[in-house]
Amino acid sequence: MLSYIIRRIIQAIPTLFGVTLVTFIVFNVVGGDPVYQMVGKGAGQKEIDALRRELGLDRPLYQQYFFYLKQITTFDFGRSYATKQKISQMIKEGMGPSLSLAVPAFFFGSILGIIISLLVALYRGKLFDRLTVVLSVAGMSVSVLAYIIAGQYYLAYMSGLFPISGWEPGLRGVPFLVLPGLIWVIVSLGSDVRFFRTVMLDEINQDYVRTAYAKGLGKYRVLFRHVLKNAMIPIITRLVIAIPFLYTGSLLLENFFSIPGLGSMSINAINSSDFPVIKAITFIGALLYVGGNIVTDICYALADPRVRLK
Amino acid sequence: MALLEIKDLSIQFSTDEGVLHAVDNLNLSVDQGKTLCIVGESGCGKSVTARAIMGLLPIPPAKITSGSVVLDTKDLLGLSEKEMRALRGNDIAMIFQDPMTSLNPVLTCGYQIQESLHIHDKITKKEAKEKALALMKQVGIPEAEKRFSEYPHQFSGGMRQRVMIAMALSCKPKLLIADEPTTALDVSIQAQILELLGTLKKSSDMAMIFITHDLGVVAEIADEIIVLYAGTVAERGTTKDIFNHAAHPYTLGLLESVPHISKEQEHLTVIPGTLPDPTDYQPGCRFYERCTFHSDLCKKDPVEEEITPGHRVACFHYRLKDQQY
Ligand SMILES: Nc1ncnc2c1ncn2[C@@H]1O[C@H](COP(=O)(O)OP(=O)(O)OP(=O)(O)O)[C@@H](O)[C@H]1O
Ligand SMILES: [Mg+2]
Repeated sequence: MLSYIIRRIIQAIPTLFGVTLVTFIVFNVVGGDPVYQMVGKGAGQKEIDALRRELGLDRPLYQQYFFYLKQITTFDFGRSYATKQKISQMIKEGMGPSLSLAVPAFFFGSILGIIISLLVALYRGKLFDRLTVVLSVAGMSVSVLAYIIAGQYYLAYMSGLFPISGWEPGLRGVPFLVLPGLIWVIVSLGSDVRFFRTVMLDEINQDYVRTAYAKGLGKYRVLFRHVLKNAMIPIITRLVIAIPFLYTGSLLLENFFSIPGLGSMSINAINSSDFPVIKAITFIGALLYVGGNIVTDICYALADPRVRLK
Repeated sequence: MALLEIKDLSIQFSTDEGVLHAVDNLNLSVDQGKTLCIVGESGCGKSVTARAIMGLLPIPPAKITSGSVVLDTKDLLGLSEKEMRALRGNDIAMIFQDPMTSLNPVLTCGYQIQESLHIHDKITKKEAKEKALALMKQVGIPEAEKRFSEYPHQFSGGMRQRVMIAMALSCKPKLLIADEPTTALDVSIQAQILELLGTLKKSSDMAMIFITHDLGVVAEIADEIIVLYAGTVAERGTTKDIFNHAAHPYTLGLLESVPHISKEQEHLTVIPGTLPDPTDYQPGCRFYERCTFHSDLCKKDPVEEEITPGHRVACFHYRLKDQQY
């Protein structure tokens, strides 16, 4: 198992290298010169040259690339063009609010999705099953914007159950997170349940399930001992792949609920062409994605004895 | 008295094409220690019958419209799901056709064997493991200790079927139903599994219902044979009756399609035609269309007639067979 993990990590190195190359090319070569945007119209050539030198943009590309690699390995991404803050500091500050919304919402959403799909597997074809299918399709078809607007209007503004928007650190921030968290769960539940349900029903029709019943096992034992373990393989894959995306939070939810997370930060950075910030967020996203893939494979190997040996 | 007695069993499925008659007015009985083979081509209702005995028909769409299934003195069709569960894997066990897919891929073979022991016998884990190991040795799995904690994908097809057999035998069932247990295996492995089932049966007084579509397989192990055609019995009798004195044209066709190792055969004779549509049976003999021998007599429903004690055939023409076939 350990050697499997080590091998997967070594295999990831070329991928990460590729990621650095692509982000570098996109931002430093294709992306154009940020200096013109920064200094505004009517700036003199001297001013421009000074700024370029300051940002290191006057040096040859390979030097810029090595500089970028150095930044990455030390997790020091330089300073934001727009706010002049240290980017590593900005990310550290933004991650808290993002994760405090994303992690609980993701966690509860996934558990709820799995529970619902288990119930569906127990009551296949009955009213509960049909209702679930209809609701999850309906839930998927409605835009998240509709939930945000309806939630903020009815649940926050009209009935005052929740604050409309805002954020505070620590436990005092919890009330602010309930409504966006709820919306997150509702939005993700539709497609999760549909996927999990298909997985469960697919498993339930397998031959080994028939064997299990023929042994005299009850339906709960068949479901939890036999079916769930098999169903967990595709379910884990889907969930773990989603985890890296949690760190950027939700662009829309954070924006509408004024949560100062990485989602809001990304939108601001894009609006102001703040290249270093976007580059850092992109790279960390890619890093987490590659890491997430490794974790997926490990979970996969743990859940499925057939992949373990190779 | 028979161990298992099925009387007048009829099973239907409601399908999009209408009501499908899977089994019609089936009668059969199996004595303790005996092997009954049910033979017939694909779709004639063999597996449905087996599932009905196990109480594992999907209801709906399946529906048992008449009959009784009596094991010892209990009518299985009248039992609750809970009572049935106590019997399954305990008094009646079953092995299936495809050992590749019939075992759970994420549980060890050892676990799967000891699971029924655990459920039915309420013994400790350690005892269950010891029993499971003994069973593995009994069914001829070498290095049982090591293989106990291996997963199905680490076993060959034949070894997996042995695991299935060990699993089925774990609670010493009175009746073992084997639904085409060798169909998915290589010929040489087939022979080994058949031999294993034969020896296991000799050493216990378990009864067996052996289901197959291949008459060639059954000569060795059957005491009695039922030839099923389109959900009804065409012919029944002892192995000798069927192999030496077959009377139904369908049985004769099946016998001809058994490959002979001694004879060099270019083509296997197969009975021309296919089973009639089970959602749309016409009155009269269901073999009518494919029978080289049909006449207006066959437009009436055939009934089983006794030729010699225990040998019965549902055909109007069996008496004429020697002259006309
Ligand atoms: N779940 C089901 N729904 C509808 N019809 C079914 C179902 N299961 C079986 N049948 C029908 O019942 C009839 C008998 O099927 P059965 O599985 O018993 O055949 P079989 O004799 O076991 O054939 P095989 O050799 O292919 O296993 C077939 O016509 C089949 O289509
Ligand atoms: Mg079958």
